Amino acid sequence: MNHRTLLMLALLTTGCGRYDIDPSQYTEEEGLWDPQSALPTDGGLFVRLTRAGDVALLTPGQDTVRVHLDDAEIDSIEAGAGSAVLTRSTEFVCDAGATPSKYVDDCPSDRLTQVGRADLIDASGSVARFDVGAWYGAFTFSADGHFAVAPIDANRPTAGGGLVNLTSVLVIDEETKTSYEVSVGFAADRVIFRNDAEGKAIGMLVLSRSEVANVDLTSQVAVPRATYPLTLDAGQTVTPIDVALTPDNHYALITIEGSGDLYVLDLESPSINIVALAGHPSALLVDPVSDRTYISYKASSRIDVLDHVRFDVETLDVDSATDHLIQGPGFVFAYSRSGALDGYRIDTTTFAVDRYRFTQPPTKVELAPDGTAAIALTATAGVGRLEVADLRQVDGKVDTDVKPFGLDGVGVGLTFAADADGSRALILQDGVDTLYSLSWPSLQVKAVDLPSPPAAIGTMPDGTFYITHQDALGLVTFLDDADNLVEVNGFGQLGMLDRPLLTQEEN
Amino acid sequence: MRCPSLVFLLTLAGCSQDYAMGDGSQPRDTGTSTDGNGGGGGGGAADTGLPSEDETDRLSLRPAQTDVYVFVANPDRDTVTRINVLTQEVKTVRVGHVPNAVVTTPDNLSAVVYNAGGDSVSVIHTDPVTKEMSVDTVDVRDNLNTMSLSPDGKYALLWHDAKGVDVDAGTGGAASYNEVSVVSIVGLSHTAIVVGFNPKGVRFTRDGSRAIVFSDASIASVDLTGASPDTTFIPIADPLNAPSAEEVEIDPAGHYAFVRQAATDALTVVDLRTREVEAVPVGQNPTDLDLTPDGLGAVVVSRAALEVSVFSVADPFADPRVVPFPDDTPFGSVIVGTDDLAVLFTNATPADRYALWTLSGDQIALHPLIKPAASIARTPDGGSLMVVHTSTDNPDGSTPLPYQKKAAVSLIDLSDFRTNTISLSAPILGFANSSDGKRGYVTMVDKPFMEVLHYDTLIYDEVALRSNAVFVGVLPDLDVNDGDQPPAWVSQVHPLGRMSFYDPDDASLETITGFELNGAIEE
Repeated sequence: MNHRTLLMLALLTTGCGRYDIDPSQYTEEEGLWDPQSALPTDGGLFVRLTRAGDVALLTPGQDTVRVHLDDAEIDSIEAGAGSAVLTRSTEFVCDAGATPSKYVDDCPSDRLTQVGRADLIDASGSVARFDVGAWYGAFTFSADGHFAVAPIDANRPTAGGGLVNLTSVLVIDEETKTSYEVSVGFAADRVIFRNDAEGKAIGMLVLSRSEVANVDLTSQVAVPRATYPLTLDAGQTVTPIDVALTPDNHYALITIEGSGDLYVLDLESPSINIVALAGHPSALLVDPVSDRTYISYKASSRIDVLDHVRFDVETLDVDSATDHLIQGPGFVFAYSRSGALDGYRIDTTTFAVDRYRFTQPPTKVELAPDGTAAIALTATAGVGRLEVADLRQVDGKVDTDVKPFGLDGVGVGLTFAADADGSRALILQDGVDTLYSLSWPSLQVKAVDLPSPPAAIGTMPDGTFYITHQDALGLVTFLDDADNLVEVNGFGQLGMLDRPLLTQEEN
Repeated sequence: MRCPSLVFLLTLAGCSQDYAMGDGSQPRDTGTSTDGNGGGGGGGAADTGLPSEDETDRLSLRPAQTDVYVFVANPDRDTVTRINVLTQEVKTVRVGHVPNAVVTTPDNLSAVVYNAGGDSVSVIHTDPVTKEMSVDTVDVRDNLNTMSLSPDGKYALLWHDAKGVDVDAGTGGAASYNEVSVVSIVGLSHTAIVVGFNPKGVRFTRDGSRAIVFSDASIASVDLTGASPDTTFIPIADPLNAPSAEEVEIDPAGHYAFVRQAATDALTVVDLRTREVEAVPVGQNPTDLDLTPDGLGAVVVSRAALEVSVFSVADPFADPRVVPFPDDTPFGSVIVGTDDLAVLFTNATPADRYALWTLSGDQIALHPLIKPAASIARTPDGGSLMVVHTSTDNPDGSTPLPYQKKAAVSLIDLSDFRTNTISLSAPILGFANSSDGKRGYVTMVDKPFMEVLHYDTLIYDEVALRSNAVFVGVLPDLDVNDGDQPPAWVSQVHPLGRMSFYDPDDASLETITGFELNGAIEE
């Protein structure tokens, strides 16, 4: 049995699959691309063409590139690395002798099988492909783009995969273009990479049911260096929720579902210490400068500060509970998305706490790239506002007044980019064709009329904004520093009439 | 002499370390009431109906410590965890089945573990250079529950204490109550010996050359100097009507064993060289036996006779010096200090007083207690007393309201008798003195606190713990000239193990939790 056969997923396609659709009967409303799939890279913006099963690479002012896999349909764009993206796709294989055709829709549904794979794709097409069982969930990428790791998704079928090791994760080494499985623990669902001083991934922690595996990535094939139990009671399930690494990579901090226990794993000399917290943390943030971890709680009006030497907890009392922590330069900003109005700037040197009060509950807060402002989208009863908290310190003091701006609708997207005069935020509103651009610190607001309602917003690596639209044929606008809008449209039609091809079995 | 527990002394010479499940150390100062069934003579009016003096250590699974490490047995995991108190580094090793007692050797290089479930003893060696641990295990006899380590750390004796908890369920077949396992820690060998029925305790000579296993009717003298243990069996009482043997002391030279038996009017003296046994008359119902710190005298408290007797260890058969109590308070316990001062008290009856006895002048002065004492100790520098009170109040109603029906501890300055009585929310569970003797560390039953008692000021500080305290201890001072005091440790209730380390220099507390998980880390 060859490897391809082992990974074969015997999912039978049904009569209502997409290949039963007559392309001539296609209507716009069904969408040819996914506006939520946009993924910016150094080489341009990748979007997924849902109809064609391809991706398109969009670059303002240049021709759109359709990246097509001859023998597979791209199902998702997972993440980018440099100018490439990793995609998940499906190959369609028809049983030998079932049909002489090369098209998927010519194969009887009971003879059609699907095989999962992943491809590293750039503008030229697939530069590397990997067999990936359909039972693997979403990939997590190392910051240096070297590794992509996918745990098994318990909600996906393993039928057809032969004997599937349910304690494994799939590791893709994008440098060597190889992939392999590592046994880490049952129901693994979180991965965090350990990097060296140069930012190179050297290991990873994989969280699974009642276990955490510390995997060494420096050897040719990754191996668990140590596996840490989270309980000794076989009848008890301890589910790790969040994980953070101390700046020196010496310790991993792990929160537990429904518990106030914070597990501190010593990764150098494997051992475990449990720090009792005030309750279940709502957010955990490691500040590398002060070498401390900040912990917030939904049910307690406090921020705990954990040192990384003795793991002592110091408590900062605040006026309301928070559930989000954002790292800023020299401070941590804490706020709540659970209805509270307060935000707190916590100085990571003096631990001084400055309280900001928004006029409405925040739904999203972003910091300016230089950390001098926090911009919040707030909403109550369908009334959306943009609120700006000035975080600058003058003579050690801050102005805690928040400056609110009314919006046409409810803000749903917010992104920042630095510009020559400071920074600029773009605010996306639900169902509104107008985009607002707020310059900081001048607080100048510009309205940018969009060609159609936006779907998503983001920033390209060069600082250019991109906006995707709910346009069935494909529409993305790019907004540069000078507020010039460049539209790229119609790319959704690329390959829409192509008949999907069967994958030819290897001999 | 008493061994560590709620009652503690400045010197522990000649005392073995006894560790067991449940009752732990065997009671050694438990005089009985004269109307009991111990077979002794009748008691005086003051002693009639009184219960025993109680000094039993009821704590089990006590951690053991060296100069740097604390060893904790994990009976549910078949492991022992070693914690470096200075760095909090944790290492766990697998030992035998159900380890329930751990002690350390005086050279601080080995920990000796009794595996009750597996009928074995594991010796954990720490490499002095690499600090890595290795484990050797020796099988012992079954139906044992108590381990006693010789003062030189060369031998461990495993025996069955009838008052202990039987962790070992046995085979379901035969069982003996006369067997003792002698384990050579150095040679990792085991020798089984037979002693008198139902041994009550084990004592070693100061140099560790001989062990005395005492039972009601006999003692077994075990010579540990040869290639294998050589046992001499010495009857000490009529086997048909033997009084209960409660306490044995051995003189520093190892010539005599003094045996205190309940409800008698004699002290049994055994010449270990000639095996001669002689009953030396004392007052009725001897309830405590102590050697003086210089080893020259043996002090016997006769509670029913309301007197204390002092024997010459050099000539124990000579008539003792007898000092009567100043009133009819039935003192049953004595603590003899190094400074010519001894403390007399009782916990058999709710007495509102204790006595200070100046040995050289045979003067006994009475002093009041705010509440009856459960135990009394001299602080390490001898300048103060620590009185652990019962929750019972003084019979005459003189206990002040804040302390009524509450546990309490009193610190009493012996120079001017200033007293600070501290109300406690629960009885005292554990106690340890700081290395410099200036502080005491106290834990309470089912309470998440450690109280730090400052003996010089009589003031206390409270340290909040993460969970209820269990054991408390203090590491030795590795460098007495560095100005730093070693930390105190306190183990706490937690399903995965918890221990805190208190630094008296800056009053900081560090806690590690979950160290039992370390034994399951796969590398």
